[in-house]
Amino acid sequence: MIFIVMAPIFIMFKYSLSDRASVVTGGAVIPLWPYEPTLEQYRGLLSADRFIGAAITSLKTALLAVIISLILGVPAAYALVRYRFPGILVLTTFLISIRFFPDIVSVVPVVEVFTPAGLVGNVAGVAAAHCLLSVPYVIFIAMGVFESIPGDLEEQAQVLGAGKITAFFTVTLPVALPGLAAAAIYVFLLSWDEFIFAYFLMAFSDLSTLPVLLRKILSWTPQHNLLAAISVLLSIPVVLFTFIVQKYMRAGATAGAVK
Amino acid sequence: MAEVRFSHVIKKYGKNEVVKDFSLTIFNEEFVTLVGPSGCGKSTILRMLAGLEEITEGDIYIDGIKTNDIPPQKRDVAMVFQSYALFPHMTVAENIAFGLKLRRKPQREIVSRIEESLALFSLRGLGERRPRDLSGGQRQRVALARALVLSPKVLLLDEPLSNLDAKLRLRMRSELKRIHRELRSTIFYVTHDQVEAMSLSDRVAVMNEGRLEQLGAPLEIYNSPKNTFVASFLGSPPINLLQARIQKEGETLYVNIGPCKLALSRQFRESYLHCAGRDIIFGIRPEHISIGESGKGKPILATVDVVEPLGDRSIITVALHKIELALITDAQTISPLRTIPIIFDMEKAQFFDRESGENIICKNR
Ligand SMILES: Nc1ncnc2c1ncn2[C@@H]1O[C@H](COP(=O)(O)OP(=O)(O)OP(=O)(O)O)[C@@H](O)[C@H]1O
Ligand SMILES: [Mg+2]
Repeated sequence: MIFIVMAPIFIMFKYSLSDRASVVTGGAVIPLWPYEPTLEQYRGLLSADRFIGAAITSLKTALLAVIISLILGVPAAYALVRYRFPGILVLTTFLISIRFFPDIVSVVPVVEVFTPAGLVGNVAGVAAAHCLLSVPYVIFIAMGVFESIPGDLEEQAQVLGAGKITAFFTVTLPVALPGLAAAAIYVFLLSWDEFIFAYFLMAFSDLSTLPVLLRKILSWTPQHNLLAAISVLLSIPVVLFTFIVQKYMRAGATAGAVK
Repeated sequence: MAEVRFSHVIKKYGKNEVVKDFSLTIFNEEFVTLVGPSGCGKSTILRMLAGLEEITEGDIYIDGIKTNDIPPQKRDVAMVFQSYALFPHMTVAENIAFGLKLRRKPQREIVSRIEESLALFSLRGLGERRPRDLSGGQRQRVALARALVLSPKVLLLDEPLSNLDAKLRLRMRSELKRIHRELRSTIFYVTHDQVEAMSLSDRVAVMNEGRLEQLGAPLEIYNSPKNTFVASFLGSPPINLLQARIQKEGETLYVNIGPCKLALSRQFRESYLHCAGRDIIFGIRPEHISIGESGKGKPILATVDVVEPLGDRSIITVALHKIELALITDAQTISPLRTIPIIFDMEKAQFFDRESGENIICKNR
C-alpha cells in the first residue's frame, strides 16, 4: 500500500534530481538513482521569472478562492442547518449542479459571463471560477460539520448571556474550525491543481497559474526532469498548507460536550 | 430573587400540543420541582422559561414583567441542560468563566469566583482539563458550576443529577439544598426521580402528558394525591391500587376487595357515605400495610410471593386472593410461600373514582 503511494512520488522526485545523461539513457535501463544528482532544474526554475510569477499567481488564486468560498459557504451552510426551511434539497442540488457537467462544457458559459464582468485575465476571475466549483462542496462539508455540533451548545451560550452572534463566534465557530479546515484544504487543492478554467480565463493574458505553465512547457519540449522538478515544487505548498491547517484538525472536536 | 409566573401557557409543535394550559407561580427563593414521566413536556417548559422555545399561547412573567419576547441572554435565567452542553474547546475553568466574562466582570473577580466554584463542586485541580477528559459526574458538576457561578435570578435545572452514581447523587442533592439556602435563588428543577423531587423541593408539580396534575408540598402530594396518576407516580414501590367496592351495612361502611371486607372507621364515614354501593379504586401505600396480628383493624391472611431485602427493610409482594400487593416491612424472617396476617392502615388509605381516577375526598373538598 505504502509502496503504491510512494512509488510515483519517488520516481517524480528522482527525475527532478536527474542530470541529462540519466534521463536520456533512462529509456532502456532505468537507473534507480540518477548518475549525478543535480539541483540544476530547481535552480533554473527558481531563477526563472516565468515560473516564480506563475507560482505567485497560483498561490494568490488559491488563497483568494479559499477565503471567498469559506466566506460564502460557511454562513450558507450554517443557515441551512440551523434554520431548516423547505426546499433545502432542491437548493443544494442546484448549488452543486455545475459539477454535473464536465468542466470543459461549463467553461464556455462561465467565460462568457465573466468577460463583461471584467473577470478574465486576472487572479480574481480565476479565483471566482474556482469558487463556483468549490462553494457547493464547502457548503456540503460545513453542513456536515454544523450538523455534528449539538444545538444545545449555542443555546447554552445564550442562556449564559451571549447573544446569537456572540454565541456563534465564541462557541459554534471555534468548535467547527477543525471541520472547516478540511474544507479549506479541499478548496486550496482544487484551486491549486485546477487547469481548464485557469487556462481559458487567462488565455489572452501574460498571467498563468502553475498548471497552465506546466501545460505550456509540455507543449514544446517535454523534458522529464524539468517537468518532475515542477511537479515537486507544485506539491510543496500543498503539503505545507495541509500541515498548517491540519493543526486545527484534531479528531473529536465535540467530544465531551454532551452526554 | 425572583418570582416566576406561568399563565395559561400552551406549547404546540405543529398540531401536537405538548404543553396544555400550564399555570404555575414559583415564589421568590422557592425551590419548585417538576416531575413527570419521560416526554411529558418538562424540558419544554424549562426551555420556554429560558427563552429558547417560543410560547404558542399564554404568558410567562419574571418578577411581574412579561418575558415572552425577551431574548434568553437578557432574562438573567441560567439553565443546566439535560445534556450538560459543555463547551468542548474550552477548559473547565474557561467554561465556568464564560458567563462571567460576558458580564464583563473584572479579571480578579473572575479568577476568585472560578476558584470558589471549583472548590464548591469538588472540581479542584481539574480547572485546566477539557470536558472530554472528565467523567460523566465531573461534567455534570462543571455544568452546574457554570450556571451557579452567575448567581442568576432564576436557576433552571434539567435533570442535573441523572448521570451521577448513587453516592454522588446523594451528596449533590444535599449540596444543592445547601446552595439553594446560601444563594437564595429561585430554583425550578426538573427530574423524573420522585425521591429527588420529594427531598429537595418546597413544592412539587406533577405533570402528565403536558398537563399539570397537582401542585403542592411534597408530603401533601404524597399523602393526598389528587388522582391515581399522581398517587402511583410518587412513592417507591408505588402505591397499591386495587379494584374495590364500598358497601354500607347497618351503620358501618365497608370496603370490599375481592372476598375481603374491611371496615372503615367512624371518622371517615361522613366522607365516603355518598360512595356507598359504588365501585372505586382503593389505594394503599406499601408502608401502610403492616404484618402481624396487632394493630388497628382486623388482620387478613395473604401468601408471601417475593421477598426483596433492602438491608434494613424488605419489599414483600404478597398475594391476596390472586391480587398482588407490595408492602414494606422491617421484619427479617419472612420467607416465600408462607401465609402471613396483614393489616391495612385504613386511615392512610385513598379512594379514587373508578372512572375518572380522581381522589374522591379531594374532589369533594
Ligand atoms: N422540536 C420538537 N419538535 C416536535 N416535537 C418536540 C420537539 N421537542 C420536543 N418535542 C416533543 O414534546 C414532548 C415533550 O418533550 P420534552 O423534551 O419536554 O419531554 P420531557 O418531559 O423533558 O422528557 P424527558 O424526561 O425524557 O426529558 C415530547 O413528546 C417530544 O417528542
Ligand atoms: Mg427533558
